[in-house]
Amino acid sequence: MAKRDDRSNPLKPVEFLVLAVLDDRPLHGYGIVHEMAARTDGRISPRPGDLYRVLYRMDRKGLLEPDDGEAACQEERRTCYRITELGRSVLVSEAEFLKKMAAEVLSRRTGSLAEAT
Amino acid sequence: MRSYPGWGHPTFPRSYRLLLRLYPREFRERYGRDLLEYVAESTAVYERRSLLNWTRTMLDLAINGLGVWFDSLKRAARSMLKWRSARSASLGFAGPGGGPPRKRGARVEFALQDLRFGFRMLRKHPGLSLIVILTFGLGIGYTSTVFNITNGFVHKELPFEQSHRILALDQTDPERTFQYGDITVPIHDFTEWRAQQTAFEQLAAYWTRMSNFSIERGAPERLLGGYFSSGVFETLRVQPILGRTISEADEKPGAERVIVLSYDLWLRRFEGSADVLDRTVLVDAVPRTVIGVMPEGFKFPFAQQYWLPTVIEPGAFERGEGPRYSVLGRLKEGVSAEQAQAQMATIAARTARDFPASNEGKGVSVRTLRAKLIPPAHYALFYTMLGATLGVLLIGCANVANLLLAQASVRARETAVRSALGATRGRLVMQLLTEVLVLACIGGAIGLALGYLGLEWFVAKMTYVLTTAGDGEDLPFWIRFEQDYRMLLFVVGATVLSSTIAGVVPAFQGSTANLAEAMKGGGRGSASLKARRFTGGMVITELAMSCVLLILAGLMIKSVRQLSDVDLAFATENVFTARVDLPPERYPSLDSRLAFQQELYGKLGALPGASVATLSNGLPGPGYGSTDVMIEGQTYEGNGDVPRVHIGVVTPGYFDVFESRVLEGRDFTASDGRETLPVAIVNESFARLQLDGDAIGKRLRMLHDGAQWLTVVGVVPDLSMQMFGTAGSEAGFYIPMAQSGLGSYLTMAIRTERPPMTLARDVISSISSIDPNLPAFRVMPMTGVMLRMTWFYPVFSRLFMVFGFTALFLGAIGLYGVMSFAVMQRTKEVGVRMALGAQSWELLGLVMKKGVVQMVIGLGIGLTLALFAAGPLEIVLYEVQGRDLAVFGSVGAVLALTSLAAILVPALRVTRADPVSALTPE
Repeated sequence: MAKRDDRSNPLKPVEFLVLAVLDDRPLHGYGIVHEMAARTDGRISPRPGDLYRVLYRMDRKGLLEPDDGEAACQEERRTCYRITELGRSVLVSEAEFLKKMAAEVLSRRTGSLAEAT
Repeated sequence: MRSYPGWGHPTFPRSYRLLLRLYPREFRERYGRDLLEYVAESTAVYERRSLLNWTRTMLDLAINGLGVWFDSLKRAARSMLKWRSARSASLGFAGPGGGPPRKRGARVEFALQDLRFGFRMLRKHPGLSLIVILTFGLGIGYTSTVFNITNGFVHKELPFEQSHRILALDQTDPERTFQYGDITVPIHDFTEWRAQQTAFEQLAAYWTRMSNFSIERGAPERLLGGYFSSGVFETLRVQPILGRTISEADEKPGAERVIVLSYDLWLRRFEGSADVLDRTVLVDAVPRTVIGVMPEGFKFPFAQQYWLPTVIEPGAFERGEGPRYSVLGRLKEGVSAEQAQAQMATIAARTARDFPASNEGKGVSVRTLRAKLIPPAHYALFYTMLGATLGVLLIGCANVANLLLAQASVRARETAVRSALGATRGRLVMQLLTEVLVLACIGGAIGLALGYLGLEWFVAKMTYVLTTAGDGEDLPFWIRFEQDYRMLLFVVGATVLSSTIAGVVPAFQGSTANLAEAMKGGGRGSASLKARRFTGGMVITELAMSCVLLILAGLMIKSVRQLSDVDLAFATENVFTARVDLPPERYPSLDSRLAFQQELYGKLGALPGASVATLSNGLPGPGYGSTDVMIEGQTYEGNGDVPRVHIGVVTPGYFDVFESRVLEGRDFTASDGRETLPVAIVNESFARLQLDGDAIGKRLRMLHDGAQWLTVVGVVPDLSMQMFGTAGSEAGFYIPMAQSGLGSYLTMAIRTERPPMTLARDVISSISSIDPNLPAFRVMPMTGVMLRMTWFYPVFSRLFMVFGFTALFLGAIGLYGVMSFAVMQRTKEVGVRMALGAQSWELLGLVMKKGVVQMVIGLGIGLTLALFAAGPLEIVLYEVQGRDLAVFGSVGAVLALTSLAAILVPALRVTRADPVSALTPE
């Protein structure tokens, strides 16, 4: 257990979604949830406590950082977050990993379907 | 880091903001505001301001608050382990076998695993977890509310340096046992004590008085002042923030008249200006020079607003006469309180020998200043309440233990498998305990929030009464309701303790599961003798606890009922009241006071809207002072034998204002004056107790020198001359103000057809038209006067009522659960007996017998405990005995019925079961 490096951990689904949403543009917490709900057809929308705990954790892992420069956020006087370089590379490698997994699952399905017919 | 000016934004519910304190500071600073805004927004969007939503949000915040800590803990543990294994590898003693470092690391890993497991259990069994969390939350919430209140009242040390070394000295007098409160020290004794003692750094004296305070051209107001000898400030070790305090020179006769101001007064009347020194203010119309300002919060000895030197001149009085003081001193370094007490006793004995006429039998009592200011009797009520709430918490713990026990027997299989796979017993116990602790921590977080809210509710109630219904009187300086570490400490302690109480038996019970037994037995019907004994003990404990709590609640509720039902012998609606005091410096002679009284009396009666007015030295409700009286024709053995009764000084109209009537004889009239026969009106209690019901024409005399014989001319009903709601005799009599030598303290009462407070302006201007330097104070309707007397009955009874019903509810549920569990364990036995042909009523009796025995024992213990617990409560009960039969009886009956139902229902279910299914494991 101890030898695993935090950074190479597979991301939790909600962390992945946060990074995916922030990949577009910096957003504040409420915006992240909005965007996340929109992209997942409302399937995933964390409660406030859950969300900020995740943000805090990801911030400490260096996956994202507060972004004080964003004009829209300054207007609303809320903290916005933007994805870091590290976050982006983790996101990409995670996306590739997921893509591989998804491809495997789907190919097996189509394969078995083909056999059945 | 950005700062957020809107941090205290009112749209964020306080409960959420409190929970935010659970999070690490860094987290709060960075995300706190955003998080709350998100909560507010989502609430607004979904329009779900329901209790459900609130509960969910609270749980979300509480769970994640702990989760954030858990995350950091995990990271810390990880990096520690990494560092350790790297180090041990470099030192060459790494290895899976594990030296000490590996072992300690494993322990941390285990703890984290347990924690994670605990959270997982929480998500897996949300129903059970919610019940447990709420039970802990409510229990800890109540307890911490009461603790916080108690903390504000009695737990505080006095805010002085080494305050436990400051002692208060009073006189003791075996003859004056009736005295309410302390016996102050006569001036001669004080000066002798001061000169002869060596145990204290110095002795200092003080007394207090309310006076009229004004600045030139400003409106006068009525403020509480302290009259200090030199040395009081030094003894308390308090420094002024401006100027100086009272010195020895100031207490000499003929010294310049000076004054020290409190911080509040300085801010309020001088806008905190630094050039206040040497300004002149008027106290009872006497000009005084400001010499100093005390720091914020200093209001010794009660809620004083300013301090004046008291002139100590023993030579001016005969021994046994003159002023009396409260005395205090700080122990010298290395001297103990006992040594000081011994020395003072020697000095007092010497004085008693030298001056037997004034001092025979008189001694000295020495105790801490704190014990004098906050008498131990005050503690009793709070400790009773604290005990009551701890009882609720204990009942809650017992319920949780019971639930977990039931769950443990269901989970026996899981536990057995784990232990077969090599988990040690200690590991299993720790894991089960951690699960409870996780739930208790969330409960504790809710409890913490409830405790804050409860305290705020209480303070709001109290402040409302003291400021709105009163005249802005301040709380004594030692009562400070503020958040401090004790509250947090208490909640943490309560959380750990209650999770241990609730968890330890189920954990040990659950960890002993035998694999073979668990696998075949279906996890039921095999509870050990120990577990059964434990549930039995729990039934008894819960019953006893509920019984005590319900009886305490019942007594309080009955008091409130009595109070609201009580048929006051006097009317309180449509009566305006106010007070004005005549300073002796300005009204030194009886004539000057009488002139003022008559002029005021005339003006008040003529006010538009006033139907009848009266002046007196008190009001029904707050009551009157007492005096010793002799009745003509009676013989008394000694002074202690003479009846002590209340005395009221009133003008004609008093009984009309309060819509009372004269039962026999006549009322006072304007013609009862100094030249006519001295008269008195007695109340019914006096007539019955002292005059055998035949009062008119009897004569009585007060004990002090020069008192005249008073002829009784009338009898009136008992109009609460004894302070309302307190124990003591009602007996008392009234004399006409025009015939009394008193009359410095005037209370006005005016009956009116209009809303009473509409008279306020006219009354105040009538007073200032006679003397512009006299402030009216305690300006309030008579209903407000009564509210001040009784405010805490509804407040405290509501507290007790909530405790009591929660206790009943928890107790009943717990009983039902425990009984069901106990009866279920005998399913198999019942099945066998049924198969062997036992009648169902026989079985019912068999199953219920144990429950009934437990019920009887529990109720017995509870009723006995309640007898003891009700004792301290008696001082606040109104016309209810601590052993009130009705309350004891009905609580006993309710509990007996509830528990019978709780026993009967599961028993019926078992005995009606089909023997075949009872014998077949699930």
